[in-house]
Amino acid sequence: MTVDDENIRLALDSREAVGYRYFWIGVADEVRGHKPDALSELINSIVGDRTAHLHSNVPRPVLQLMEQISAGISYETLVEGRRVTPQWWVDHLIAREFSKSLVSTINNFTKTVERELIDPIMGAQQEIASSLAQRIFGVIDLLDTVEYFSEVLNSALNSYAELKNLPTGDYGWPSRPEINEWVRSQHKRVSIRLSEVALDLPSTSHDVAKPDLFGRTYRFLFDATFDAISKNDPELSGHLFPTFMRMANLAALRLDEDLSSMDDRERSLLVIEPIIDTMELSGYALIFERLLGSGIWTLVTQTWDRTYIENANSPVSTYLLSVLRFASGNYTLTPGSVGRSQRRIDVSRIFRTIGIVNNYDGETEAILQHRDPILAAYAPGDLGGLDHEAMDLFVVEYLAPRFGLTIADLPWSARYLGESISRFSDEFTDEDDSGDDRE
Amino acid sequence: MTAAGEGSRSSRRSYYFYERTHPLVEKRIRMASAPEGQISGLLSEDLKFVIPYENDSVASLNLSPLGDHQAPNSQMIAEALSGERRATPHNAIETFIRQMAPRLVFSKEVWVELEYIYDNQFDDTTPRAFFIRMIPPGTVEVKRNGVPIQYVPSDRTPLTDKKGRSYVELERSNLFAFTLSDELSKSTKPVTDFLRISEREQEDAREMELLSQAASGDTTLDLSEHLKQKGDIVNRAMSPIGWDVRRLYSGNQLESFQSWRQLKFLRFKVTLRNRILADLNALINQAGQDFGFQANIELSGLPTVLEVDAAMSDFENGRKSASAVYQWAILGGTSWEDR
Repeated sequence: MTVDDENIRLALDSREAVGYRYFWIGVADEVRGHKPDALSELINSIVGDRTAHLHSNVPRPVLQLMEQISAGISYETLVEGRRVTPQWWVDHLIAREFSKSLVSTINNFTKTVERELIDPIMGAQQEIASSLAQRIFGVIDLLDTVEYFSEVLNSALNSYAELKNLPTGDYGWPSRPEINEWVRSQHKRVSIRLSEVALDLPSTSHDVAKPDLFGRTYRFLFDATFDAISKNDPELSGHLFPTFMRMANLAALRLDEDLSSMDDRERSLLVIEPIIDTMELSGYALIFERLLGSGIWTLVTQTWDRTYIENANSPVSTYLLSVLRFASGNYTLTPGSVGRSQRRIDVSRIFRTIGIVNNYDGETEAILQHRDPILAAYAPGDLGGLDHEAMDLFVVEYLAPRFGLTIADLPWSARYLGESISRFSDEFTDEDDSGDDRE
Repeated sequence: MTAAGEGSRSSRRSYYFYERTHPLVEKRIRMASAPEGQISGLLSEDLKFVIPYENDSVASLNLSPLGDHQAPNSQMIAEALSGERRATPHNAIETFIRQMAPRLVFSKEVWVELEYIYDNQFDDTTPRAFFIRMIPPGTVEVKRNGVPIQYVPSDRTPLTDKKGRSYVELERSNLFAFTLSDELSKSTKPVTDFLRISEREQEDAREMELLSQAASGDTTLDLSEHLKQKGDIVNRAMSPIGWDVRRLYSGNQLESFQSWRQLKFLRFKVTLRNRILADLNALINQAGQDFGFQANIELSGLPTVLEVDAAMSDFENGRKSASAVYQWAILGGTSWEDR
């Protein structure tokens, strides 16, 4: 395959799902105005005027029903001298037909997307990694579009349901498709598939004439792994994390090459980002396992162990500590540090939702109830995000015991975290020893 | 002719007959009877549902003696209504009301004669039993001098009027007329007028001839269009009472319309039933004056006009579904199903 051929192939692959996205946006546009009042008005205008449908974009089965109702009402006027069919009955029937039509469209759409786009990706054996990744990103963009516009569709389905006559009941009404659930399950499928081809993607220096599929895959897998960890999906996070670790090493090498023209300090700040990413994810793996009761911390430590075995001749721990010292001593805003700040804020929100907050008065019930020194150390204050970075936890809980490091050997941020954990640990032990009754 | 046995005497003067009579009398009878024809026949049957058949007995008879008379016998009332010795009171009452409903709708007034049976050939003061005798529709007329007469076949009487119609004189005090209220008359007149005209056209076989030509291609008559238009006309004609012609012509009818129409027909039937019941009570009590009793017939478990109106309001306001009110109405408004 020539370079041109490959570029054309990638361009075509990137367009594979575009038609489906336009279709979905079109469906959303059609039902965007379907609020209960507007819907009643639309129904009346079409039922009352036999030519009104010529100006409306109403699905055919709905239109046929409207025409039938219109003929029925004309008949009533002929036979009884007036309309006798109540408005609620018309609203109920037409809303039901709208609902059936939309649900049928959604179900057909999701089935078609699975059959035409996702299943072939899952089953592709001899595919070129770049081509497959390009197609997967097309699907991921499509799933994002589906999820984004699902609110519009769900709102329309809610509007139809509001016109449902309760005494008449659910007979003939379709069950509502779980669009977001479908998006999540398909997202998971393609995320796993992407992780399977990720290491086959070219990680050599970036060519500006081509899409950066390696870079995009790296970023995607980081976000997907973090999402899976924080949303308690150990199956997915367990699948993604080991691949991500391998990618991070390749990413650091590629960054070093790509940024070779920059001065050393600036380049170093950016080149260490993938290494920090792996430590950060590892730290969050432990935080969320403590928080949610299940997780992949064991897998994370096993993956790190393997890394050390594979790099037995390299001073990996020294390198990691250096990276951390360099990062924690730097106050320059980098894309990586901005992302980490955002994640600390997001995670602190989860802590608050669960009720783990530190108000610094030593009496916080939630902390005491959990009685977990790590969670207590990370418990956010009334304002702001977490007090500590997640990668420091990796250092304190894995790196230090793994290599017999004392707290004094650690960078200041990890030291600070370690001391905090020890303090809470002592506190909880003392309370247990004193037989404090908290029932 | 009468129920009087040997040694007994009957007060009955009217006749129930099937023979042909004078043409003018025939016309009177025709104008007061249900016309021959499919639609009229179906309507007559459906009008009998003024009391639903599916139910347990709904009629009850309460009798109390007047003055120092003996306690009355309910079996006597059952026999009087049905003419059968083994009839039970509730069956006799329900059957009487069911049979009266179509007659009254098509005749506007139905005359009955109270026939008294006396044990003694000469003593008129102590009747032993009584019967309620239907008089064929259209045969009774009250003359200007206030004397009621019945036109009868010529072999039953020597009396003839100026137009050559044979008649017998009836006893005014033994006659009773079941009638329609003004409200009911207003509803039924356009219905019966329409049926008399349309059934006559059917009888003349004009429609059959056209349909036959259409089937053989001898005419351009569009059969389906013809049936549609016929259905529209019939349904419009039945609108005052709400009868749905058993949905024979339901082409453009919405489910909601059919439910509404069933309710309308039920309301008509309830109003008609109430009217017949009131007249029947008055009739039994007219006989009770001679026998020394007071009677009160009641129907239970059937809907009132107010309940039908409430169901209509519930339907119009979406508190009841179309299928629920349809089922309720078609079962005579006796029980709501969970639909």
